[in-house]
Amino acid sequence: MKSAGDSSGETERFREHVLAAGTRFLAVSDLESIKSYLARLVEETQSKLVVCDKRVSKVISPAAPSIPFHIVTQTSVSRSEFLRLLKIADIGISLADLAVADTGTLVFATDDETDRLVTALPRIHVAIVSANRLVRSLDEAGGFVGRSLAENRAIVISLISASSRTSDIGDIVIVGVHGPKELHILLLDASFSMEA
Amino acid sequence: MDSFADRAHRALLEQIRRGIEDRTRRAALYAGTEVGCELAERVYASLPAGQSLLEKAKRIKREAIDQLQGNLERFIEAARSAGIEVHLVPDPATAVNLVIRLVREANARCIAKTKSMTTEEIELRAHLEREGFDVVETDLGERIIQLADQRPSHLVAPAIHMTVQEVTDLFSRELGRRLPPDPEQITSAARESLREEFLRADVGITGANFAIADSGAIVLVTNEGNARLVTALPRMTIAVFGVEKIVGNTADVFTLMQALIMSGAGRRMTSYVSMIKGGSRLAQNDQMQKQHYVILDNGRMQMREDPDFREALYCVRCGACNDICPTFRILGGHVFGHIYTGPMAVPWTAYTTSFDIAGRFSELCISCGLCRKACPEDIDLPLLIAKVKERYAERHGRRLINRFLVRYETFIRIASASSPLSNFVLRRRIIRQLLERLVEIDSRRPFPEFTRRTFTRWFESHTSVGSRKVAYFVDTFADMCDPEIGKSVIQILEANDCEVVLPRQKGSGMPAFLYGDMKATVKAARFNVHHLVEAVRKGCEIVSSEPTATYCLRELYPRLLQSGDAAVVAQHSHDFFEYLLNLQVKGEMKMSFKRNVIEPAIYYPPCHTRSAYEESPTLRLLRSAGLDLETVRYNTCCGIAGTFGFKKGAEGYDVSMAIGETLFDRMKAMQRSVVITESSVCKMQIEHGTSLRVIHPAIVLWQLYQKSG
Repeated sequence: MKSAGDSSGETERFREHVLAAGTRFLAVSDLESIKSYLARLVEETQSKLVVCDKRVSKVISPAAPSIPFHIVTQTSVSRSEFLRLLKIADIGISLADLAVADTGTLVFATDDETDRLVTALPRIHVAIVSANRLVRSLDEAGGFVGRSLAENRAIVISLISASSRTSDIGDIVIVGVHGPKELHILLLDASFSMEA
Repeated sequence: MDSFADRAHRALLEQIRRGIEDRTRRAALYAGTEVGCELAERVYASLPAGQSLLEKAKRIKREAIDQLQGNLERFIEAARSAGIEVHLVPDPATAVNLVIRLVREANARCIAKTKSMTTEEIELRAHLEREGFDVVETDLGERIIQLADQRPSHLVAPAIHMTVQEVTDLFSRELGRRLPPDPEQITSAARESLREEFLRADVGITGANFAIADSGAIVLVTNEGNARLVTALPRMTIAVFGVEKIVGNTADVFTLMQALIMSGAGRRMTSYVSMIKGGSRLAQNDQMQKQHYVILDNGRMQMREDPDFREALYCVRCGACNDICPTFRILGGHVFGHIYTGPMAVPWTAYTTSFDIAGRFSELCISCGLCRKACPEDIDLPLLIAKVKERYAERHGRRLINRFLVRYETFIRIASASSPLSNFVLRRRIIRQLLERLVEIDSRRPFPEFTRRTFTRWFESHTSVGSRKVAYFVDTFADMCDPEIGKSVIQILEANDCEVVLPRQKGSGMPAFLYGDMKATVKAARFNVHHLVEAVRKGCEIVSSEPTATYCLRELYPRLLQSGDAAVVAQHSHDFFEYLLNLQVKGEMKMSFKRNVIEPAIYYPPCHTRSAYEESPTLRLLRSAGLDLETVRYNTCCGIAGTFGFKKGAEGYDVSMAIGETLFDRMKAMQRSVVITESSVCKMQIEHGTSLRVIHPAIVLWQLYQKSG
């Protein structure tokens, strides 16, 4: 999808913008490192329930029984049960379609509101994105978005650049209004494929 | 002025008086708007490609409005192919009735709403509530004003006028428990209670920041994340937006959204941008969400057909004009607005609601021009507002004081010709009180000194030699009040090998523009252009040492006259220091000065300098000449706005001094005793408010020349 030559500069720029927005960032190499990150996060935040979007579900599912905390995937329960758990989950894990280096933005495209809610309802949002999905500019991301919108199906594109915030009360910035209070981005090494 | 307008005017004065006295409200408003400006400035400064982004944003909106008809048709087709029901509505009543019908048909009871100025325009929430629906505003700022039963007081920060304590009280009452005045805890409590509303909403109502013709998608920009929940959970969503929101394609939107976000939120990107096309699969029951678009005209197509007002449609609702406007900073959107707020509200209210309502609060605009500078779309708001003032005056007449001030030049001429007696008379308390009673000029505002030995008279017996030809536009103040300015300008130019001529000229006519007297403005413009263009044809460049006059020559006259001559004059007109800077850059300016002969000073850029240049040429030149100059942390007008600050009480003086207060305090705290500024009226305001010494930079530079030999 992109040449290997310019990736480290872009990775660095992406990381800078992500951190500047108060988002947590880690470069990870494989599923194991994702699992250990999650384990640490669950402990730090004393979380009880983790939910995954469809694509993450497919990869995590086989490993789910060996994970010490309660992780719910869309393949393990019925749709309505999943929604019930979504509403009380502490952490939502999702896979992003694209990442934008210039602004530290993640792009998600879906035709399923359940997937969107995984990134919107829980207090903590962990987003995984593959390094070979990193583009330099918003304009490039615009190309991807335009093509997605042209598809013959209903679709929602979400551009996420930081956790939820407001400054409506006395101009003081408060994080975690209606969306997640914390955003964590795991940049997955290009050699590991999440497409199970 | 007729009795209708007179009554409306008195009501406005009362609002102004109360607004000025309400220090708590003023503090909240000022802090919020100032931060808004500073954040926007900072984010653009941090982006090297910021200028080119804005260029693109301007081009895109202009094209989009040009192609609106075609884009609308494409948009409707694309949306319908995506299964979205599209309704075109001509006016608020139709829009409201339609939404009520849709919500009834959906058997809905609970409605969750995002922030949308278009829904405010049609007063949707009030109508839905009257029909018995339970409507919850989910944007925190909107929720606050919903609880307070108020209208938004700002385009993007609806509760900017409220204090933390007021918000605490509102939520405490709503949630039935005493919350501490801590924004963190209030937000937490609001998050919990609004989460319930999101989850039980049957219908979600949004606006749209943009709509994309290619795909039929709408775009929602938020920081809070409420738009995502309002559109993801309910079984039906209704997006209500104006027809002018439609742009051609996704790439266009990606540019516009960045301009909106940087100018409106002062960030590179908001936390969330959602682009939604068609109802996706619902989480609760596997069905597809039902989507409706309600596209509102309500005067927009008419605005598009009116060449005077068409450019108002380029507005992306960023709110930057609200943040920078000096009168808005003091009074807020409940006074300076109707539903829409701030400068953009003048043309928008005129076309979507009524010219009379718009005309009434249009007088709060003091023509400083900063709104245009802040506008990412470069909409000529000062001109649009002047045109509303003009139409309002045509309908209802003009106030006596304004008609008097339009003819300011005549009175200055009389005062000049009859000086020094005029100065003596005008300093007498009883005369000032009489003037206040008869013509409503505030007796607290000092007049400048007038002189019979005008600059023009001095120049008549002055010969000028040099190889560069320059025509000087002296303007009223430097001619008849402080001829040292003009003499300094001439001597500096001559020391740099310029031959200076003084073409026949009148005052710039700016006060006429301020009061919306377009006829008088055009008359002054024609006269000046007629004589100045002759000078240009003889090989002269035009320089002006009064920034407002420079603005007239370069911006206002060509826009008003639309003539080849006016364009020629504009192209060859320069701020005096800009002209010198150009010489300096070419190495052609005499620049060897003794250091430290001028004491450290404060430099203050007038509004019309600020709107013309990113960095003032005066500041650059004087600093490179070795002056120690500091600038004030201050980004709006000093408040005097030409003749405005002379008007009695709430008509002008009180507002101008309320605006200037922050500037005065900050200047006094800087521990320097001299202020340098190019504007004659800023000089008067700063002297009056701080008692610091204020000097024109041309005089300072000439002193430098003399002291350096």
